[in-house]
Amino acid sequence: MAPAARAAAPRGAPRPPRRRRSALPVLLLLPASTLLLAVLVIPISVAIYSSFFDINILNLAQQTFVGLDNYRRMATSADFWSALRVTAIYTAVVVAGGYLLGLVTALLLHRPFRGRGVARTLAIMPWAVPSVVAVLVWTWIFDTNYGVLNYVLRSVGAVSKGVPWLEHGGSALVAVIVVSVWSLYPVAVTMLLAGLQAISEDLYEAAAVDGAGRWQRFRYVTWPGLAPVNLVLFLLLGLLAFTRVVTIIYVMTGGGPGRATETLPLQTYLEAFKYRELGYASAVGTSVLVLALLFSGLYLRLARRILPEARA
Amino acid sequence: MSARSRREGGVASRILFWVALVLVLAIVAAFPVYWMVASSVSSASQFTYPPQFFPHPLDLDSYRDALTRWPIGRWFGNTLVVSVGTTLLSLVVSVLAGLSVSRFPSRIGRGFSAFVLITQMIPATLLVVPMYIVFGRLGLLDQLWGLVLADTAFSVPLATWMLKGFFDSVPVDLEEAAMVDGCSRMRAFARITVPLATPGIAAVGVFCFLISWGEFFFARTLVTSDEHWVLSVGLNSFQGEYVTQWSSMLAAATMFALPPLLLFLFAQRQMTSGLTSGAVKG
Repeated sequence: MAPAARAAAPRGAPRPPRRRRSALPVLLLLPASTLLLAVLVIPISVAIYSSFFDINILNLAQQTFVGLDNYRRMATSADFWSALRVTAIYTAVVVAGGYLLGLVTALLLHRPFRGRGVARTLAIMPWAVPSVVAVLVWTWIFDTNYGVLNYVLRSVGAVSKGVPWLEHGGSALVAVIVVSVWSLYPVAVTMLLAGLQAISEDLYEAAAVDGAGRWQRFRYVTWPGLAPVNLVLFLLLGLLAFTRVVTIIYVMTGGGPGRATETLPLQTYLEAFKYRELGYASAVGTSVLVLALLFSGLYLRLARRILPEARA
Repeated sequence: MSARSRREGGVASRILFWVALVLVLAIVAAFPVYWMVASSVSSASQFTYPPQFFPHPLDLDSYRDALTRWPIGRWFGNTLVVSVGTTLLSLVVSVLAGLSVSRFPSRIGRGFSAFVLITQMIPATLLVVPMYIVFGRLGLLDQLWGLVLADTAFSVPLATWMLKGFFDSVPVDLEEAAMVDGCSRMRAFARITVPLATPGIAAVGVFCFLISWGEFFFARTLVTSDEHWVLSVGLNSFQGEYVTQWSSMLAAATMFALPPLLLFLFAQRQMTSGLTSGAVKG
């Protein structure tokens, strides 16, 4: 390869092999591929396969093929649809809340000021708190009689008695959403801060010269400038809320009271280990996976049409 | 931009800014953590009402109580084994994979982002069911290192993606130069690329550590006997005791949260750059 051509190629770009095709790339990927195959791909395939069987967790050898029965049962089960509804509400609110809180925080942290490092660290800290700890603390905060939240609410006269947050369906869902947003919004802060920093100052200067006020600057410079980050962020938040924060719900309410906070991923777990129906649980879990794939696919297609230059 | 904001709006706007900032940060982010620690060192009985916002005097009894009431030391040890094991294994596997995806992007690299995305869509609760079966058959149930394998598999895709971003920012020219001098590609990686990406590798390591430290579902399902419990499972078992022992539980929670928080504080800057380098640059 001519030296000039080599020097002109950008860094990280694929280079034509200079000797015989090396086995190195494949070798380097071998440990990861083996591990993922063994621990991720095979179990997932087993799960999907199991969804066509009737399996009791206590007697794994006894597997009866039932075809689409599990799915039929799922489609006609009131619990399934209830969980779907809860999942939809939960995911939508957590993503919206996490994003908004993240945006406000990122905008506040964007300009340099003294103590910004400390402020930024504090803002992102909730992410480092283990889920079980977060649930414990927030359950204490939400405690009916001695919790600090009810104390504040009573002090300002918003309620007359302590609200039994975790004992009613609606309020329990609110509680679970609050904890989830608290845990997840640092992800939004991190990505939005980076996105804000990528917006060129010149654009703001130009807008100011044109007489744009603060809100207009946000609407015409900041918001469009954040488009690529928003693209990835909404998807990421959505997936995290959909599949990753199940721990919070399980530990805080166990899906209750009366399935009011039971999302589909949680139902998967409960059907398997509480109700002992591995086959049916696999069917529910598989539908979660399919839903996630569908929504992600739709989302990316839609996003790419709105933002052809941004890539996920 | 600060020059402009100083001209506009003046004092009122600055005050509003600070008030908003303090509200958002203090109340939203820090208060629960503060409250956890404060409630655990408060000498007032937890049944005092109204609650004491600034505990005085300080009292470490609940820590003593927590340590004698529950086998926290053992849980801590188990958690440490799992987290360190997961971090090391994840780093080794992901560094190799990241090098491959960064330096040989043609075949696999393009599908790789999609692959990472798909792995993020897999609910842990779906995975846990067959894992329970498969691990059971292999005799890996109730083994800490079975948990290490599970946690590692879960973090490898994201870790590889982040490391790819870090490796991408190390110029290929340096490796090329070394190879011109007679180094093999692998040697160039080991001598040049990896050492230059050390801050990024450390950040990813911290990330893996944090994820596995607090991981719950795999730990709950794959490790069955009490003596192998990790902290997340142990603390979850407090559920039935909510009525009586809040300060002790919060003391245990504080001890559980301390290592990741400290690690996070030290590594914070590096980690945030890693998480975003992949996202913004693509």
